Amino acid sequence: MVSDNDFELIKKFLAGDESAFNLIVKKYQKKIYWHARQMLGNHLDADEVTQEVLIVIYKKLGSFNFNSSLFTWIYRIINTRSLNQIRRRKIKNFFSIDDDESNFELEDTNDIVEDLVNREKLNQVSKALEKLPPKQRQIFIMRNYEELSYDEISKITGKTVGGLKANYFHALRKVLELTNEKK
Amino acid sequence: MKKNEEKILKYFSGSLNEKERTEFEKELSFSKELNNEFMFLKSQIDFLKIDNEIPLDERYFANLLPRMKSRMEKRNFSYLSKKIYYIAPTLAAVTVLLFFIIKPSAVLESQYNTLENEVVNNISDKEVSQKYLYEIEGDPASVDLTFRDENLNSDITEDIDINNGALISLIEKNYSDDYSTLNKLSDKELEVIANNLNLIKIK
Repeated sequence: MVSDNDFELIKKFLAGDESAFNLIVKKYQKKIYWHARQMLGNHLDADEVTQEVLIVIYKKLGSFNFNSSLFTWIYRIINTRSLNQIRRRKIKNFFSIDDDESNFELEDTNDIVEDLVNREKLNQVSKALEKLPPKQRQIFIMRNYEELSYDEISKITGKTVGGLKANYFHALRKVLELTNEKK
Repeated sequence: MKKNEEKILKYFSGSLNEKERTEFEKELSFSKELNNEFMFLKSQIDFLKIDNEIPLDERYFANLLPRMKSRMEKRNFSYLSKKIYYIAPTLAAVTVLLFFIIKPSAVLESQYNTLENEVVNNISDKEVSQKYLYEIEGDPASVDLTFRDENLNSDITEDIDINNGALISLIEKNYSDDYSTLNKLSDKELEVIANNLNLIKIK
């Protein structure tokens, strides 16, 4: 299940070779960031989750059981952390006196997407995705952006393929509705 | 445009079964209306796709690992600091508690020893007195017998503070009213006190 390279890197890291962990980070950091970014819709939260995910990987790699691919395992961590961050943000927003506009400006200045056109599109899609229930959003991202198969998504989320298809169908319809409203 | 939307989205989401999918694909090939709707929705879905390869500020990723490690170190340090807030008062409380538990018994034991020495010194029968002194000191070589002869104690020193009339109960005689003057007691009475003191120490 685990590619030879990942297997070797994990073994080396568990034997105390810190540089093996650095290589794992190098290999997966962009995927981790992108998934978090699409789930959370802004750079600041995505950065927070990315760092947290790396810390969890560092601390828990010893408990990785090699039954799934390393990235499936990492995906589970990103999903859990992203959902936690969404909950945390909701609570924060509930008690916050700042308006949405000032938050948006803060996020925008820290963004690492260099190209303005891409950034604009990303923000537009993120705004539509934000309206989806977090678990639907998760499936939409994995299916639509990361192009994972339903079987892979099922391994990550622990949901049935039938349930995932239904969720993706509803997510797709809702996102299209929302993006059409904007136009 | 909305007419076939559900069917098309079911097709995109893979929710159609084998038979439904074949029928849909067949219809798609000859129905211009369905085909137009299909292409329209497809273009919308494609618009939503974001290329994961779009250029990102590489400095962020170059810095990510050191930032993560520094965050982890800070967290470990603050975890330890938080622990100290709990450990320091606990240690202080335990120390104080141990002081109260151990100190009084140590003080009492030394007081009993001094008292026993004084009681034994007042026994006029030298052989008996010597026997008790050996018992108190444990090591016969360390017993200074000349001390006994020359400086016979008759009074209990003032710094001996046996609470709750402990000494009175040791004497169990009328002399207890005047227990500070040991030379008023007989050798037998002094022996009883010495034995009782010994028993208390063993307990």
